Amino acid sequence: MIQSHEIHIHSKKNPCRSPGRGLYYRGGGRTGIILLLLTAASGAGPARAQQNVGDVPDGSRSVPVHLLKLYDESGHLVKPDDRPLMPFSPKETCRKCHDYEKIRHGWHFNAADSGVSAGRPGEPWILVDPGAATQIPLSYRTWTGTYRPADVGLSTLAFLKTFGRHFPGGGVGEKDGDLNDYLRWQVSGTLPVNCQSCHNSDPGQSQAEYGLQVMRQNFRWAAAGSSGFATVQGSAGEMPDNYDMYSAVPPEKSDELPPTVTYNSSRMDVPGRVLFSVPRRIPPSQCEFCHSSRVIDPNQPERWEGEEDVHIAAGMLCVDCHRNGIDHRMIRGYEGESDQRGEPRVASFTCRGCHLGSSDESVAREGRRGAPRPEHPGIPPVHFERLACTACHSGPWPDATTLRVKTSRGHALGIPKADKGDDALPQIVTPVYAKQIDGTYAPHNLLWPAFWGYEKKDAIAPIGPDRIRPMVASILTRDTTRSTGNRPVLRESDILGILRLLRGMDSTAGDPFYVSGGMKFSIGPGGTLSRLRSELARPYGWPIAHDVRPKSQSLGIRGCTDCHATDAPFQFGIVKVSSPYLVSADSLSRMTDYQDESAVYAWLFSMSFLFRPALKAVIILCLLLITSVVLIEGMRGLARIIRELSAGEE
Amino acid sequence: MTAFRIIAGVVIAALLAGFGYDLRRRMKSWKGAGEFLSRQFRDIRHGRGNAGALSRARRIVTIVSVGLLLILALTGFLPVVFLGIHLTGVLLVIHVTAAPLFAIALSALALLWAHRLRFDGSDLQIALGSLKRESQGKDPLVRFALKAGFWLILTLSLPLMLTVVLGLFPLFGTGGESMLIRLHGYSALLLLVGALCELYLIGAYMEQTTEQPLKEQNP
Repeated sequence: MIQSHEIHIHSKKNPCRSPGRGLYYRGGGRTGIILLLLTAASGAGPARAQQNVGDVPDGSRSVPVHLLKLYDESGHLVKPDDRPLMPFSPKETCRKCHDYEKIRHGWHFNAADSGVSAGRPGEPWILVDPGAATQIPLSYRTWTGTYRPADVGLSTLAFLKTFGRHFPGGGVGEKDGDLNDYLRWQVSGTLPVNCQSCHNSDPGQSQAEYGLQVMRQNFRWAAAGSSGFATVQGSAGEMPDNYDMYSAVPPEKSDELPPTVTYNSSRMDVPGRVLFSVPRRIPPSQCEFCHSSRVIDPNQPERWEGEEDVHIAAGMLCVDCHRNGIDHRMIRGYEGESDQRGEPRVASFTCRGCHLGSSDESVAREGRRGAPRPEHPGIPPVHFERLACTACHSGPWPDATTLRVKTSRGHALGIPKADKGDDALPQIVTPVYAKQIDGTYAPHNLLWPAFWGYEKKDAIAPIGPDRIRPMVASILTRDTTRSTGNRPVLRESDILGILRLLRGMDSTAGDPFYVSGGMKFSIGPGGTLSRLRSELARPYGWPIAHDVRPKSQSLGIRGCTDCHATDAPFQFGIVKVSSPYLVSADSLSRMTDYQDESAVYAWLFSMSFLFRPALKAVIILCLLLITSVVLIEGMRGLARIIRELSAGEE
Repeated sequence: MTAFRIIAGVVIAALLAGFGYDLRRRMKSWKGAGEFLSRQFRDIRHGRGNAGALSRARRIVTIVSVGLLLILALTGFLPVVFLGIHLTGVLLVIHVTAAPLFAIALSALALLWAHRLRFDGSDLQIALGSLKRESQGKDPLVRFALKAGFWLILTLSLPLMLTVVLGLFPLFGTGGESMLIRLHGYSALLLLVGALCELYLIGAYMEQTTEQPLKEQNP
């Protein structure tokens, strides 16, 4: 039986809403306006405060069939014979039954919303430019160590063009108020939430295609292009600022193809409806486009040698733990999140909440999805206060030296023509066992920022790579002995030269500097290159929770010395500093540099485990000896008491 | 841990206050009490009379045991009772280093003192007399208390060591490990109380020039 969420059912409650962008006119528009007025006059307005029909569960566990009519960005019905044929908008199509206003403030879209708690530091967007030896963590959230895109000269439009490949739309994608790019926004359209990024499990749904369309500045067309039932050609980015998609005037240059959409007519039924595959439980593959990582492990060079998360292997889905309501406030799943959100129930979706439960809850909630309760035999309880569960159970098994990792968002994984090289920027190392904000140790990914900037008193101003790239190029062009390989590798003299150029360009901007590999470089008193350790150059780290390893591959499974040995990676692993420029190729730091413990104490403590077997033996021997003494003397004493008690009778 | 912190804090404070009160009562002034105690412990440290090799060994082992006990008590109770945190860091390293030495010292103490401090018929009479609220002489009572304290310390050292050694093997889960740590704490508290009482008895009630209460007696 097909359940259709047809628009005519809901149109009385939710009339077509026109954003009123002013340029668009069609017959449907007039109808919409008349309907809007009629609806408003009939007093249907307050009904808007009610929940949308798609947001109110009726208790059925069956999945509603989403056979939907398509609506464009102005809320007008898309008909195959429309000219120009408009790309459908997931926002307008889905909002007929779902509360878009609630959804658009969800975790995936609210990075730039003021008043939203940044929460635990997460993976930033990383602006990478090999030609400018730059890798700088960016975020609209207030994570310490990241920079706002505007700080490096990235407008919202430029940000979307750069990172929209792994962006589900919404948030800054709908903030088209940047006056500098006003005309471009008119050409490209906005980038509202693309519901299909997560909710369309059609095999043809392609986030990679979405990314390509965004890079072509086809914001308005991106969702349609990725849907699997429409084809988008052309590029809004190649169109002039005065390009009008509604006029029939072709572009000035014949080789520039304006963006157009073509729908696969075989996917539309007679009334023009399209069947969307919208599962209730979203498969991991939908999440993995943006949330994958590949550890560059020389011991496991091939994909088949690796493992996947133990939960996924057991048949669970990402959304089994990372749940959300219609407000799309995803549960991130870290300790302390429930307090930050003010929702105690959220605590039951952390590792601890699911596997161990909480004594604070009136209802036992542990064991969700059959989560086993771990025994942790022989592990002193202090471990569970000082370590996150992920310390022993997540990320790659730690080796003597940290490994490099490539992530979806950092390295454009899944996008055609992305750099597949193992040494592609940005350079991120993993796993680094560092202390996180709640005071526990957890495995982290670490990124050493590398960027140019000016420093004036206490303020710093990063310089966007666009300004640096030509300088690097000019140096390399002049030096014919240099081979740049995959990317230019700078020398100290190059850095000094670029810093001098920067100072010459703007002497009032402050002192130019460059940070990379944990060091800050600037022009010293004698005109030489000065280098020093600086807060500015400190690596940005974010905790990793996946992939979760099975119990038999957890730290500690072989005993205490998995961590408490003088060569155990947990404290004595070598963290290989990675950055576009390093003072020496083998810049290293120790794991304890990111922990509270001093290396000396850690070593002493680990040394004590060498004597642990002897300690056990000594205590057991002493225990036996004292027990014997107490028993022997106790028995003698007892015998004497018996004798004394009987003495009178004898 | 909160209950243990309160109990341990109150017990130790009450014990020290009791010692102070008793000394002050007996010596009439704090200055006198201080002088008396320092004199007593100096005598103990340097030995009383012409002691033989075995007595010297007994004295040395006792002093070492007391020293190690104080180290263990400080490193064990300081973070837990006063700071409310688990024993960790440098204090843990000191604690686990001193612990086996204390176990060895306590074993030696047991071997060296067990025979001398065994209970005999007179002790039974004292115990029975005390139960009947009969008046006892001071020396017999002190002697009896010292013996009882010694055996109490040895007995309490058994759960103390057992809870540690069991925790070092993968036998108990998180709940079991927590319980072992709690038992270890309470055993340590009782042992500390017993040891402090014993020390106080030795320091404050033993005659200065004689080892009479602890002297070898014919069986």
